[in-house]
Amino acid sequence: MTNSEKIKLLSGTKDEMVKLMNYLLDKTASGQQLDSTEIPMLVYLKEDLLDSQPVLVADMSASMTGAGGML
Amino acid sequence: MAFSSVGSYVNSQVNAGKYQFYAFRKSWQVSNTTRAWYDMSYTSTGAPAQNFYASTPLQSAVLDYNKSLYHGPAVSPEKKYLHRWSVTYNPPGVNGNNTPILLCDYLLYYPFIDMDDTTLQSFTNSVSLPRYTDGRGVMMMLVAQGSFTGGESVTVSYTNQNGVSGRTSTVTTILSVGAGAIMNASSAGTGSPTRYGPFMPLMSGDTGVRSVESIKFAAANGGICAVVLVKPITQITFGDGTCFTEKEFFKDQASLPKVEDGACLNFIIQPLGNILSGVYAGLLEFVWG
Repeated sequence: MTNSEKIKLLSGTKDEMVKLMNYLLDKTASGQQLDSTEIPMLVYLKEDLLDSQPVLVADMSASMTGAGGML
Repeated sequence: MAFSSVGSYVNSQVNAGKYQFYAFRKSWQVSNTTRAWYDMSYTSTGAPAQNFYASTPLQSAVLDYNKSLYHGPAVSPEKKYLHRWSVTYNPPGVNGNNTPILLCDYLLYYPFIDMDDTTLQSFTNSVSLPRYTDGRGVMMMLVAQGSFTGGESVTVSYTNQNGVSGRTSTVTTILSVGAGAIMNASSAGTGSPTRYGPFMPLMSGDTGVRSVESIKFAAANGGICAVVLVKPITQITFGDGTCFTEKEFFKDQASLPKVEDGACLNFIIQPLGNILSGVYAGLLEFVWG
């Protein structure tokens, strides 16, 4: 994949970003090294797709059993 | 407010506790070219952490403060200054010697520019300058986000310090060096009338950049890069790795470099030789009042 193709995916939809992330992960999983232009891409994908996930707020009184009971 | 006398300056440090030390340690991670300029925020791990300009492609963004040199809390309405800067290089050796280092406030960047794309690439200005908001004294540099080919020319369209858009940087030939390089600058043996450094040359009469609108490469250059806007704060010329080089600004320069609240400080550097795996370490001392 060329840099231009990677940047197109990086600028695209979430699905396209996931496609690029999978490409980079497959590359490392097969024992290849990321090239130097792929490192900032992976850092961005990690921050955007994984680290910035919305916080899930749940009402524990309605969702959990145990001491305190369930409403 | 600002210091009105030597007495108030000394009192801030000695009696009021209005000072901050920061010990930096930057471990160089790339194989660099002699006398090329590099962005140390990108090339070095350690303290502060490495920065990859990793955010939405072609969209303006501010640097993460946690990846910059810590200078203490916000002090407004008081004013903060750099009082002292010391630096050494390890292991001692000629490659790390005789090296100019610039301290800059990193303001804004536009990442993931495709250097193979020869069409006009336009930027989205989703955020504007967080400090030096009129752009006066704000400079532009092109930082390589990885290895690249180089050798071809580039121009950048920007808005100047008076708010006039459509200004165009002087045609600059991209250097052929590696990751973290400031690509618009020259290096040893590659001096050229179309290479300038470390900052992009602006149009006649312009003294700074408020925002950047687009970039255009004349031919494919390989690689990816970011346009980075910085305000140069001050400089030191590192001499010899057998001892610290130190600058005490009041004594040595008779003026104290001002540091804005929230400043994202980091270094750019022009090493004498290849400093792969070398370490620059030192102290910054700030005072306010």
